[in-house]
Amino acid sequence: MIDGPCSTWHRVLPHKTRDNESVTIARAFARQAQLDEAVGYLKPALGSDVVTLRYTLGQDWSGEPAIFFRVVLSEQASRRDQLRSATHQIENAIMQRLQPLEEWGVLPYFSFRSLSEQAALQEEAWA
Amino acid sequence: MDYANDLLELAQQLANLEPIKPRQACLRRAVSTAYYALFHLLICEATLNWGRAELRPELGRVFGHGKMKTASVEKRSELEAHFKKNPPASQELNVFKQLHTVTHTFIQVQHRREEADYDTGRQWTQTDVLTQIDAVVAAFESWKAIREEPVAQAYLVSLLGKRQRPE
Repeated sequence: MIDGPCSTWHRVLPHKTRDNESVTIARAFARQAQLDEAVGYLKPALGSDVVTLRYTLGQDWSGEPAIFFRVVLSEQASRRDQLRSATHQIENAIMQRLQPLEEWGVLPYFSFRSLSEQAALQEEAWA
Repeated sequence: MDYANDLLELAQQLANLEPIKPRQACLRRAVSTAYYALFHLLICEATLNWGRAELRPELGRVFGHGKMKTASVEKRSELEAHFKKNPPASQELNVFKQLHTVTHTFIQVQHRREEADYDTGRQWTQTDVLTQIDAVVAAFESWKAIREEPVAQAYLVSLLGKRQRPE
């Protein structure tokens, strides 16, 4: 793996490893402050349909590095006749602007809930 | 394809079964069923190419979730790299966009299925579930529009996984 400003993977030089010369981790994990900043810039560009945008880094079901976006939608965007269009546009905008896999080495996943659902559940991770 | 369509219809019914305060069990089953609708649609379409109809179910068992994910991630990346070049509007571009919808939805809903089936600490909402189901409905429509296209057929073959060469 190449380590550099454009690399989506970061080489962590080993202390002592048994079988591997080094361990590589996705850029998103290695540069979380930069990722925070990038996601922060992203939010206003998504428009008024997005009330809050949160994310967590982790692994997906198969163990690949992933970024899990949690999006609280406005009531307007959550309407049954608007939902597909709104979520499709939001996912596309995030993928095009942030390029999670190409730039940060993580697969993006998206979860959505309405403002009223979040108000009822009061989950801090979504607030 | 009947089975895949039935699964999708069932997912929609489950998601709308309890409009007020839906139980988590209904929502989780809806997400899981929506994933399996798309999973079986793609396998059914792939195995339709096998001449001997009686052997298609057996052939379908060869497909696996992990290899299908890997193939979908690779195809989605390839399509996105193409889109970045701002290609002019064309029938080919339209086909690529439809295939992107299929690959992206497959990746998304596959992971959400895992959460729905095993992560009992997670609270599902109807909005989230309907989003997943709507995406699968769109993926079905996209697939039907491009199913005969060479790039779509090549994608089906890629779902079997890459050949492993002994080192």
